[in-house]
Amino acid sequence: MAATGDLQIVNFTVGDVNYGVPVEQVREVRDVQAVTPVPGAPSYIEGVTNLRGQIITVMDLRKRLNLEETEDGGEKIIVIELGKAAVGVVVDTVTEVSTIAGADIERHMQATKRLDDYLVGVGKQGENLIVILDLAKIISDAKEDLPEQRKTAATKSPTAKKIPAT
Amino acid sequence: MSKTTQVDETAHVYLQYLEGVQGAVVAINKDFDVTYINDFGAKMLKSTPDKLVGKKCYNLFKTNYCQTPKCVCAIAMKTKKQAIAQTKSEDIRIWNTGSPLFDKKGQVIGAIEYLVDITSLKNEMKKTAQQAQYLEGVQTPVVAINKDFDIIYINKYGASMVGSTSDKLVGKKCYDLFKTNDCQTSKCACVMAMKSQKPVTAETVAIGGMHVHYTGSPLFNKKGQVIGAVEYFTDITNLKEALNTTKQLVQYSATVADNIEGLSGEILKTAENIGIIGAQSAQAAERLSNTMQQVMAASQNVSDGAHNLSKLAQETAKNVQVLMQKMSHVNTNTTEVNKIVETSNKLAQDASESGKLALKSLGAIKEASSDVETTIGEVNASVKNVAGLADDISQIAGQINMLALNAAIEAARAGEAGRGFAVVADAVKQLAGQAGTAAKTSVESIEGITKAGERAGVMSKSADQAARDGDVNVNEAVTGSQQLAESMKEILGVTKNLETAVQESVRYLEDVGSVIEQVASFSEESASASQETAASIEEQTAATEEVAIAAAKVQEEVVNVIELSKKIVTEVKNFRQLWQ
Repeated sequence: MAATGDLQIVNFTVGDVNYGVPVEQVREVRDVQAVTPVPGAPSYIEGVTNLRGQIITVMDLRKRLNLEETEDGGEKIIVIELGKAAVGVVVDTVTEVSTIAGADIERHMQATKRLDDYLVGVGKQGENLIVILDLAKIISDAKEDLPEQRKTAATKSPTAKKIPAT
Repeated sequence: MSKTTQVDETAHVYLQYLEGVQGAVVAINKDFDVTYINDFGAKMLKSTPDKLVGKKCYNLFKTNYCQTPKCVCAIAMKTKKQAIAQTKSEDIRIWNTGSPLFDKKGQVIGAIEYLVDITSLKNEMKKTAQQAQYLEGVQTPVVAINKDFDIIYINKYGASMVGSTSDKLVGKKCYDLFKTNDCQTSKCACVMAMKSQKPVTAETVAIGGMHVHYTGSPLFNKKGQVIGAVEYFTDITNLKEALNTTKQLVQYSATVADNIEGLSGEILKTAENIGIIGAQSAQAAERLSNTMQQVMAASQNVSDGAHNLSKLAQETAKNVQVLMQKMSHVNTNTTEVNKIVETSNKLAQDASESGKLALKSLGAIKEASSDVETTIGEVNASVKNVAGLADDISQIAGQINMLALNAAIEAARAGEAGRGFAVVADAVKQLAGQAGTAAKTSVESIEGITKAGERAGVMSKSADQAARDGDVNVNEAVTGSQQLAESMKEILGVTKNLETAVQESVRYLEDVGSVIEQVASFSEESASASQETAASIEEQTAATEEVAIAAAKVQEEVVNVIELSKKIVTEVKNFRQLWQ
């Protein structure tokens, strides 16, 4: 197996940027499929979809990361495992599964604390820099915004305040 | 401050200007004590000016003339005038100028001398002299003139040509010497050379009827301005005479050839006459005899002519050979031309008959054109089918790609047990990519076919139209049909590409199939591996099961793709048959 510190990632892109997510977090990759919108959900939650009988939430990573919106892209869903549950993350393309040597990963970017939390590190692959995201963490932090937890989270979440009580 | 010192100082002020001079400048008093020497002079003596002032100048330079009446400074102080001489100091040749120095009263108080090393100049002059010597030896007149045509140089040969010597001719006008037809006209090569600043060659007749071939070359000064010209002559009188003789020979041979031609004509006529006469009676015998005499006379003439001709034979032998070669070419060409003309004739005859037939055939063309149109319609329909199939292949390749990606993810999650599978998944992914590329190539080929098909449609329509207007223009119909045929060829070419591309994609997909078989065996391996790994049995089994499921899916898709590809190949074959 790979040497200590080596990281296996699923490579994907959003816009022109190369991202990666540790492969342990990924259950599978799918084409985008019909999504049922959920009323009152934050803008980066596209809705819910049926994944072989399991209903999962679908999140638009572009919107979650406050990236510029485009007409193209958003073609693939990376299904991230969160214990027994799963969340679909919409990205532009998924290219491959690869291994980055531990020496090629900068793990302490000294960025803002919040960003450091979401960032596993920045890896080098040939000429390319790969922003390795902790998607599970990003989703977990967003979980308070997820539809099923909306009511309990209403007092904490600034976003949720805008949602009218039903 | 005394006057003398003042003068001295004034002189030294002026002398400062001399510091930069590239020659030795030395001032001395009446006793030949050095009162001033410039840097250049000091350097010549490998010393500095302050060390040299006060010394006797003759101890410094030690020229041949030092301390003799020939010393320029001595002469200058004596005559109160500038004196110049060339002298030597060891191996150095020196150009020495002495000028008297006066005080305000006009009395000589010393001299200034100026020494320049002219060793290299002397060498240059020597070389120039040698070069001039070469010109002297040239067995052709060489003359240099200035802009006013005054002779500044003439070599020995040139001078001897006009019965004089070089020294006597320098300074005279060149046109007075050679008196050529071109002299003092704009045709003069020197005039033209000076005007155009380029060498000019001309021919003329010089004094005594001598034919000359001469060249004028412009002479430039250092600034590139024309200051005169050099001309050299070649006597071509003999050449001219030879040419004239040749001309006469050629004319003579032409006349003789004409005569012979005339005589040949006569002989031919006579022969004809003989033919006619021979058929007649004995009366004709006398005429025959006369005619025979004519023939004999003519033969005699021919013999004379031949005799003359033999004289010319040597001169013309070469020409004849060349001519013969050319004639044989002409002959070959003519034979070919004849053949072509014959063929043309036949073709023309055929054409006129064909023209009649063509009118009848127009109806047939019309029918054929509408058949072609129908066929093209069919082709376009089947092309659309193929295009759809190629799109399907492309999509399925995408699906396989994603399955491979998921297989890779599963393999990664399975850890050690999934490693072999990861390799296979990668291979499947690459093959799917190649199949997709091949499918794209197919789509491009299909676009080509569609375009060519459209053109063929237009062609067949125009052929049809031309056939309708057949009475007016048969040619158009034929041209249309030809263009149609070319379009067909083009389509055939493209279909061939398409076939290759599709075959390629089928080949890749077959590879996918064989790799999938390996996947199955790897899955089994990882299944057994996972059984052995007690700690993670549950996890591993789940992973390998998923791998197996993914593999089964891939296999299904591959079967689909192979079926689609087979359909494509069949379709392509079908519409190739439509054309062939």
